[in-house]
Amino acid sequence: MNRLQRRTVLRGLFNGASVAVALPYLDCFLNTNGTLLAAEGAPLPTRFGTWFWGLGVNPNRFFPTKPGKGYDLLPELSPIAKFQDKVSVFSGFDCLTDGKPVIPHGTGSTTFRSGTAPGAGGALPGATFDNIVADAIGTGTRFRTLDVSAIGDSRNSLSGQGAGQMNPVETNAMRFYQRLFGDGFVDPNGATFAPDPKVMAHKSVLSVVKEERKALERSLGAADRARLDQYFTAVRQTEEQLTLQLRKPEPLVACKVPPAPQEKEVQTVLEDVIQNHDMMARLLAMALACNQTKVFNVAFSNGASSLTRRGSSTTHHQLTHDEVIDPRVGYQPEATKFVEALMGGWATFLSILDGMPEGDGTLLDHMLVVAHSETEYAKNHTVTNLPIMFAGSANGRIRTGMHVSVKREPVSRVALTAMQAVGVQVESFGTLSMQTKKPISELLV
Amino acid sequence: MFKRQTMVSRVGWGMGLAVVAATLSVTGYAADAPAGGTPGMRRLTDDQYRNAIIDILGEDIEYAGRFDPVLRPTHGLQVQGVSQISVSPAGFEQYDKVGRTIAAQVVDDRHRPLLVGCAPRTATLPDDACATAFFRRTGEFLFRRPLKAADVQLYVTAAHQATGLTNDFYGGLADGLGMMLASPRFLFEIDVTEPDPARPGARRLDAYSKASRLSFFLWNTTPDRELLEAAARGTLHTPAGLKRQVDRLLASPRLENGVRTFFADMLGFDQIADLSKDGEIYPQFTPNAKRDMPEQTLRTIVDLLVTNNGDYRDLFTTRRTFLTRALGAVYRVPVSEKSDWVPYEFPADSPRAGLLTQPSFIATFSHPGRSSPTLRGKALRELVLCQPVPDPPNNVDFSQVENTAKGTVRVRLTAHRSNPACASCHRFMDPVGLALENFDGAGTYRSQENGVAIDATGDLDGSKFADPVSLGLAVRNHPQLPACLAKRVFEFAVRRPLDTAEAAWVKTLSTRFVEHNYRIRELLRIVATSDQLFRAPNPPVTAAKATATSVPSREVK
Amino acid sequence: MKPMARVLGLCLLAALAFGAMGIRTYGAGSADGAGTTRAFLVGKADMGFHYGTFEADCPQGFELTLEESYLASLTPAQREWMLRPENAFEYGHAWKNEHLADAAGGNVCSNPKSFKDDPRRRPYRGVASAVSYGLNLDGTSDGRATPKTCAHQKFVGLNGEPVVDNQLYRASGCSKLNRGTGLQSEQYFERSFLIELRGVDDILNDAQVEVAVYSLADGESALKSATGSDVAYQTFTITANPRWRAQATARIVDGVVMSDPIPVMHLSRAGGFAAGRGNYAPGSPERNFVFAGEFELRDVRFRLTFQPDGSITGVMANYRPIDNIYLSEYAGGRGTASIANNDCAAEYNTLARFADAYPDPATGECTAISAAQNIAGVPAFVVQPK
Repeated sequence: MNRLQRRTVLRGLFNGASVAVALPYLDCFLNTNGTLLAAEGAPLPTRFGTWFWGLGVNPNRFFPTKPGKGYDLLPELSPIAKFQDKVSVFSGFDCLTDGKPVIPHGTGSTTFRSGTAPGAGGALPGATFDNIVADAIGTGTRFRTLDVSAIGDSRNSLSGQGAGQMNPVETNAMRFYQRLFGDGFVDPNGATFAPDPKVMAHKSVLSVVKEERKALERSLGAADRARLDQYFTAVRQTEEQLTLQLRKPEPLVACKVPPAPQEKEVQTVLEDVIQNHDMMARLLAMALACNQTKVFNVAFSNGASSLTRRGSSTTHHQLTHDEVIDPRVGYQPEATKFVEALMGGWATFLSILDGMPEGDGTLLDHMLVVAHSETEYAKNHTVTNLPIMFAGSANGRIRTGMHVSVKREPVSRVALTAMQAVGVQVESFGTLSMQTKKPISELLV
Repeated sequence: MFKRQTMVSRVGWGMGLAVVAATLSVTGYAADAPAGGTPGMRRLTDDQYRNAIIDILGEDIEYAGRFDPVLRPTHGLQVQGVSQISVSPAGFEQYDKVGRTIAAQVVDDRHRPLLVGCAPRTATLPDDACATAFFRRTGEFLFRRPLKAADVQLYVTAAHQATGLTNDFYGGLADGLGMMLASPRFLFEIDVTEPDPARPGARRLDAYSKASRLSFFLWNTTPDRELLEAAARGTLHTPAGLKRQVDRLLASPRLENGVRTFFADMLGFDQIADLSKDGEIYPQFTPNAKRDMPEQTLRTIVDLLVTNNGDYRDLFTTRRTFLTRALGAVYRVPVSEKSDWVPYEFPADSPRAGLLTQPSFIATFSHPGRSSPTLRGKALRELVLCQPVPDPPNNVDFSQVENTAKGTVRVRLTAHRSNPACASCHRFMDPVGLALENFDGAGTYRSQENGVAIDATGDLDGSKFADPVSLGLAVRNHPQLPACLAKRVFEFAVRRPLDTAEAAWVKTLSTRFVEHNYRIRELLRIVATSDQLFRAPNPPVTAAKATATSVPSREVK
Repeated sequence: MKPMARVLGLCLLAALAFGAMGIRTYGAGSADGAGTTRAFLVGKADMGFHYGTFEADCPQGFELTLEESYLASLTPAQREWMLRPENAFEYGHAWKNEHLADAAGGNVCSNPKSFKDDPRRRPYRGVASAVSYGLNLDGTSDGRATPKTCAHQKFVGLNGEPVVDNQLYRASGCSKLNRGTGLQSEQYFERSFLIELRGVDDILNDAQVEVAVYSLADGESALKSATGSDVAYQTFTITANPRWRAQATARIVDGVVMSDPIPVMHLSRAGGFAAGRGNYAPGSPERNFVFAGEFELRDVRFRLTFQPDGSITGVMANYRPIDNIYLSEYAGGRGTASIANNDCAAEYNTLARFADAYPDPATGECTAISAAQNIAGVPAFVVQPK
């Protein structure tokens, strides 16, 4: 039975039409061998990550023109063609600043991540949504988050708790490897399993409400008794989930300690950064497969990107401002080569995550990655229509392969959707014009 | 949806007062109630849940979550849906998570001294004496009635076991409290009945059920200590005792919570969260204006009906309201304060008067890029006058109405009124909606549409009007107006669809509301002290019969 | 009910202004014995740069960026060597460090005046166009020197006056940083400000009215619509700082408001750029650098037209002291030079070259430059500070 049908069953229950479906319903739910529950062992964890690139896109070469499923791939998005079914694209989501001046290359990412436009100086006004996710799902693994920057800029972090605190980032693949697989690494497949006493305690107290059931039922009429049955069906489901967590997990088949990478200090040369990114992405994927972390933040380049091509000292950032738009093609040719390289990097990242089998799918299927830049069009520093993508289905909690096209909606809706999709208890995100309680419901399953 | 505005201190109105709990008579939870009657079971709304947590555990307890939404029954109040919904698996997961989030805060270092109230001999070992005191006291407020010793013992044993697993007394206590917060006895208000001594063979609601009903009705929150004490003493069953409590509830600043909740529901403000407007057409409809719209109307209502004890009908003609700068841009009037609400009175010759001219009505019942006499007329008929309008037929050609480039909507809507399939309903809805055409889809005044002067004349069930202000007067004097409010208030009080036998009572209520000069406090008083509020239908059905019979009529769609 | 009484006063004012709702009104405001007052929120005040065809305006191409000016300073042989891929590091270091610094360790963007005679910081060529936005500020038809102005070329005007001054456009109109984007900042003065027209008896012809200009009070900003446009009929408190208020007499002729000059006027800058030192390490040369906390404008004149939707559009022309331009727009230290590729010293020398008013009594060199901004205002309400 698929998820849509489950919904329908629920709706039927709400309408008070049915009384006795409680048990069959429960069975069919548990038999679902989709992505929510692994066939035998504990559920595969949902992971969350961000992937950042600097300096935006050429909007008319990037954003699909068709909304919904099966959107069209324009040149700058064509590198992801192979993964289109797993990638959603957003257009029309704006950073609203409520009259605060736009800080070039600062306002866009900070506003998206924290839900509040930064004031003078650009300091992070509050916790970024990836940090909120880490607080909610990042505990219980060895690393609360893993933060890396492929470009050699150790300040290239967009994540933090606010009040000036930013997550530190790793820029060196060798050091990243040491951190992950050096001292302190315990092979999850070798370790003996000890159930978490906290989960055991949680499960044991659930029995209390079941004890209360009889006394309650006695006083109720038939319809209300059916409603109470639904409640207890729901309790049983939570109990089943806890039971699964108390079983020894399936071996993490994809988890294999990789060989150490070559030591190389990378700065800003694009070709080196690409290589660094690929190495660190592979290490990160393995760290996820070995359940060392559930949350990560990757930055390919920085905002106001200092990426250069080998043999040139002209940065991507300079090109976006200096280079004249070639009237024959309608864009800045050299700057655009960088955009294309960045999207190539994104495609590589996806191929690494999607190339790692896990459960009945791939690592990517069990995570949600939010990719974005800090500006729509760097030449003008626009922070409206911020380029954002989602990849992965978050264990089946989110629909994929969509182009979500809106007009002038706050970008905080995307962040709220991402948080809710990975199970964070949050009903509202952002402040002032950015405040929203509306996730993008068409994406949430 | 709205922040509570009361002067009452919020930290634990009952917590830490074990003495009180000990003096309460232990009636027991449905202890010896033979199955019978059809007592109701109503899920707490999100606001009621939040208010109960704030009142019992303090307002610095933080949580966030999405509970199962309450669906509005056709032609009813949203809150009537609470007698029809249950808890889905995803919903329980939320209640469980939120309950554990709250429980962890209750036992943390900061809250422990006040909220736990006792300390274990050793923090790593169970301490049943401390746990018993904690669950007995906390449970009484969360479950809105004293717990039987055996019920307390359930939680004590569970906490004991949990502590045994985790070697953490407070962790075990939090596990037990988390379960209490996810228990149906907290999440649902489940009526308990008892034999009625005045009518042998009949049953009545027990005193604690009465206390809950009163408190959720008038304050939209869980009963406070005094109300539970009145239940324990049995005085809620006496007319004098009931009157004393109702007087107290009606005199409290917390009455504002109940009145706000009621009107936000009656006027359909739940729709405002999802409202959006075309920014090209209505630049004045800013996020701040949208945020302030419902609050403006609720302030107007509270000021007139609660603060000044005014005539309910005057809500439709009053020139007094409150504005912010964001609303000032919609109204096109200056507002002195940068970030405060400012009381405002429109001059006598202004086209603005009454709730129907406020953006919370005007803009909510409009399309994103144009006004809608039909939506406004339908809302006025259904929400304010309780006159249901049937759904439109399936195959209507809307093209003529939607072409807004020329002339006025009055002319465009003529098509509907002259088409027999549409006419009966549109003749009912459109004329009153057309009277509000002087306000565009965002609520700003206009005298013309596409260069043609707007004709706002018409008639409402026989009373003629010429403009929005005289429409307000016609609504004010409509005989259905007090009757509708009386019906809505009763629906709000019982939080379930009414059955046909209750029609006569609703009529009586309306008459008495009129006799009391349309004062809402008096209407609330009449409902709150009526037998009808506490009715437990007779004859009782037995448990065996209940499973065999079909769903009671009020459950049928 | 006291507050109600106070607001009632305001309501009555509003009622008077809107008593006749059907009549088209211009601006928002109130009436008293001396005619009506109408206020406007000026959300748009662009740079007043008219972009014709690139070939006609800038026949020699764009002005040089910092990197280009470095290349231009080299001999052909040096240039060839620097541009070899294997010398990229040396090249980057050369133009991003050596080229922008002076002997004392200052740099082009924090100490532009110390590069006054540096031949590598040649002033820009300027635009070749014959037309421009602006007003005739010096009153001459040929731009000859007067006691208050230096000799300069005039433009054919696009705002209703035949011969106009806009040397800021001439100076910067072919700069890549400006023209290269094809766009102009919507609000040259960073924050929206207010214009009030007072004593208007007849919006078509009135020989005596007043124009007042105010910055918004600290912390006030305008709400924008969902599409980013200015929202009409908002209320604003005006600044309590008398420096940021100014006024002048004006007249209305055939629906066009023309003001007499405001001798000196200041507008407050956005909070993030208020007067103060940049965020530089102690001891760095940029430390000595102080941003301007306000925009300074002299001899400000307006020429405005009422629009059918109640808004107002037109031009605001003025002289801008070049030091104030520099300290509020171009300055920014080393980063401005090396990241934005901006040769601030060349820009400053360009402003000095084209400056056309307020000659320094000692040197005779002009210290201010003519400029113009196309502005648009929507009706607004104005509240005095408490």
